[in-house]
Amino acid sequence: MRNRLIFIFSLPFIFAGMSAVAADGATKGILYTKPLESVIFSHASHAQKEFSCATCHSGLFEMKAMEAQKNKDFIMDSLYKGKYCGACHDGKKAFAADTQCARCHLGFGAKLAAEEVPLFKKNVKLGKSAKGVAFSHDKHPQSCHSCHPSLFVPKEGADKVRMADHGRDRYCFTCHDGEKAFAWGDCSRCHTEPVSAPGGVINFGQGKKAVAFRHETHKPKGGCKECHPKLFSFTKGAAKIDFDDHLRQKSCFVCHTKKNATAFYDCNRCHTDKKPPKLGGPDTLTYKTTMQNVYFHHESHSEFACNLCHPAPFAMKKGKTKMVMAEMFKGKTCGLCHNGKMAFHVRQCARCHKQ
Amino acid sequence: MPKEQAPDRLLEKPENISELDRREFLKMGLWITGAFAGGSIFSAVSAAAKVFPHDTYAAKYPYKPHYCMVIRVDRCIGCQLCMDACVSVNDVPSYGWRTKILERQAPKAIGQKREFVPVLCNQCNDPPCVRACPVTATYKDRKNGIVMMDNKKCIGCKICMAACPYDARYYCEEKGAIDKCDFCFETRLSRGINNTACSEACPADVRVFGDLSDPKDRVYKLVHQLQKPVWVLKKETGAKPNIFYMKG
Amino acid sequence: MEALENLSLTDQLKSAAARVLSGGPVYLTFLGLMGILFIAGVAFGIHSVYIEGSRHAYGTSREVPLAMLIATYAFFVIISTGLCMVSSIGHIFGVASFQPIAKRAVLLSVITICSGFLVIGLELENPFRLAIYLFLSPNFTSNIWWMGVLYSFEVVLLIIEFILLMLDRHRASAVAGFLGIIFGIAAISNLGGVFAMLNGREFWYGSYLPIFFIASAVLMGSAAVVFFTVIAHWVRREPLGEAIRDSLAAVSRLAGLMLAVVIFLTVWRMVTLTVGGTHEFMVCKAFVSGAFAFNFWVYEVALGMIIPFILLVLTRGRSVGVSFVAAFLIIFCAFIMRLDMVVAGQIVPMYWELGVKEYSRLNAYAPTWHEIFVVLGGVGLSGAAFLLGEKVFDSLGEA
Repeated sequence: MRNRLIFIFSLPFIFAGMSAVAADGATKGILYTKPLESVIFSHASHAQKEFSCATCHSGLFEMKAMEAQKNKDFIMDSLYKGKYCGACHDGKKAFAADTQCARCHLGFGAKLAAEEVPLFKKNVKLGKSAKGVAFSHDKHPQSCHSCHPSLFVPKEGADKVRMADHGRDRYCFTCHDGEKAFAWGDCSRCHTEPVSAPGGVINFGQGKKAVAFRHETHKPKGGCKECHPKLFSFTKGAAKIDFDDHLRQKSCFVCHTKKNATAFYDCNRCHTDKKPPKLGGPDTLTYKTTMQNVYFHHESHSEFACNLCHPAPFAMKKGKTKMVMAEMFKGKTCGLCHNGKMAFHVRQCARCHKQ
Repeated sequence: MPKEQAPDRLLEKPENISELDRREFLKMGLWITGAFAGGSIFSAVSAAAKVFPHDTYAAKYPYKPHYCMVIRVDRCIGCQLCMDACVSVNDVPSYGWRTKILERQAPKAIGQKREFVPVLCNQCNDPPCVRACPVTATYKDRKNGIVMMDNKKCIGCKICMAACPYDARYYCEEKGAIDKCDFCFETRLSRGINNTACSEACPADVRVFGDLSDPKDRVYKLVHQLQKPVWVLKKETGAKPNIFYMKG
Repeated sequence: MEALENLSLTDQLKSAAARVLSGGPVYLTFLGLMGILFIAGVAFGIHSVYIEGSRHAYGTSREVPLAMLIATYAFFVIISTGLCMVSSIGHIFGVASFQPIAKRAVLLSVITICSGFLVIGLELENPFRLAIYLFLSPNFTSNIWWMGVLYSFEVVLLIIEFILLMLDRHRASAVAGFLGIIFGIAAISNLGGVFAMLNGREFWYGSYLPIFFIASAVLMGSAAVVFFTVIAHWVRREPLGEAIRDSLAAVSRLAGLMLAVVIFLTVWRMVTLTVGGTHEFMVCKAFVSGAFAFNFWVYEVALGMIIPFILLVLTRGRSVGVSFVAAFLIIFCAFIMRLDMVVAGQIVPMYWELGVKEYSRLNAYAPTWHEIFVVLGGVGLSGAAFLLGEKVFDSLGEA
């Protein structure tokens, strides 16, 4: 009762197509004039009952007034079959639609007193506890149907907006993308309490091999947006970092390349299970051949950037790339550089095949 | 003035007493016309004929077809489609009406708080207007019982307008005579369309037009039953109307 | 008295015209005024019915179809029947003190009924059809039919009676008069029946109105006799002789008696209304404290019944001047009585009991200028005809 008084004087929502003529003894509500004049629907007489907006506004009725009468099947027979009002007015939940006709039918030329503002909560809390967002309807003076029920179920607590939804075309972010409304990057604009980056360790991978990531050590100027959601989605465990990604400038390696931050050569800076890096690069690789083995020393190639050879033509996984001498002569694998021009020709067998 | 006490006693037959008693307690005090008493039609009608003068009541329904209309008021939603149909079919001028929907507000009622009541000429069996007209410009058709107008005779004295208990008549300037509902006789019934314009236009099946003398007709079945109350308006005037109202 | 048979018709007409024109300036002014009123009334009536349409010109409506013009018609024909009855007391029933006024009363009866016919002729939408279909397709259950036929017969009989009176054929005139009064009473009863036989109109229905109209007719007839006789003597510039004075006193006492009757009837009528149905009670309320309260208490009761009654009882009819005043009040307030009776019967809507929005208020009526002028036209006809009659028929004052 007290709520109704408050809301009646709150900022009115604009209902398109609703006639609002003040008259003595006239009713408040939504006045349907098709297919017959006129039927009155009053939110007030339906909001006292123990159900929420979502009872009707999750498919039964649009949240835009007078939309229902645009349908050709907005006739009594549909109600008897359970559509529209008939979903409840079947004689069990409420009086049957084929009784008390003049209870809803006002007759010809009925007048509407004023716009009816149905009950709704001015301020809604999305989410619980500290992480919650305080949503204010007052600050969003669009019509009900711009958000309900397409984006939000009109029932408090029905929708769960997760970190993963931020930035996607869902919930608030369909408008809060920086174009229609302010971008969501500044957490404090919506979140009541300051939202900090999650503490603790996020493990990429499992067990000993896992790379431990800590947000505390990563505070880029652009905030969360620098990495999320383009590089990393907000969902835990979603990111899979491949060996080859180390060179493809993806995920961590957008920053962790030679220029921006420490390059990834120091494997055990992230991979704690690995040995500390040797100067000059990773270990010697042994290629077993029919002749004498080839021992490849990364140190002799350390002046080059990794991505010169990796991931093409050499995959970063041991044993993955097949070394065929004939191909080398044709400029594949080692032959890419060892063609006599950039480096010694592959013909000089003994320079590589040795003890 | 004595109001219909004698006819009720005369209508009493041993098997009819309980039905009459039931009808005694109808809330609104508007009573059925006396054409039906639950027992045999013949006994009721002949008893009625004894009481009322004019000897227009035969021992059966005197007209063939005996046109009447049953109005189911609980279904009326006040959409006024019947009024529109009547006006367009019968060229009713804007200052007059042949049928009208009346609206009753009952704010203290539980549940439904308004009621719509259609009214029209009741085509009475003992019409006060026919009795009063000095030049017989209005008369009751011998075949079908419709109270007709002979426009060329009407002198415009308007005594029939004063006599009618149902405010059903008005002076039509275009015709130079009194006009009233004639069950669409001139525009439809006489041209082979067996239904009135208002009855056909109603989307809620409120008006049921038919032949009361035909036991197979829907109006006969609606009127001749005791479960749902059937009443007429202003029975005390003795006009014996042919418009029956019912709910249910 | 001139021997009428001796003069030719043209000579008679010439001498009548001479008498009229020698009436003096006051007489001629009033005659002219009455004539103008009559013409104006006819003009307004024709304009209303045939040019503008009665829906706009007159104040009647679907809910109140009978109003001032019907009331005026009732007023005139009741006066007429009353005059006929009062005159019959004299020369049919042989009461000596009523004889001096009888001749004039018969003439006035004819004149006032013509006024009534004029007013109703200007009220009907199609009066010319009446003349045809009254005979071609009569309805014997219709009060209006009987009233029309009976009044027509009565007028004819009264004219015959008057002619016979002027020819001094008293016995023949008495026969005509007797038949005339019979038809007259039958006709006025039907006038009451026009309203009283409508079962749907609870204020009118019942046996009261036909009875009341008879009593009212005698009252108004006797008042009219006093009123017109006094004026007639002014017109003739004759002093009132002893016989006339006695006659007027007798008529005044009759008026007083009828006033008592009318007062008694009215009181019981009002009291009975309080225990009638809803319609009657609401009309009673309208009369006592509603829309008709002023008309009822001031005109109908005070000026129309109480004051004339007191005046007549106190003077016992001996004072001609007082009787004249009382007579005027009675006649004027009788008009208001007729108007109230006709309109009040229609103020409660027919669907009042349904309790619907459309009929939740009493119907209203207000007369329009067209209606008022038609009424004045009727008054003009009566006045002009009376004034002319005084001069044309020289022997009216004689028994």
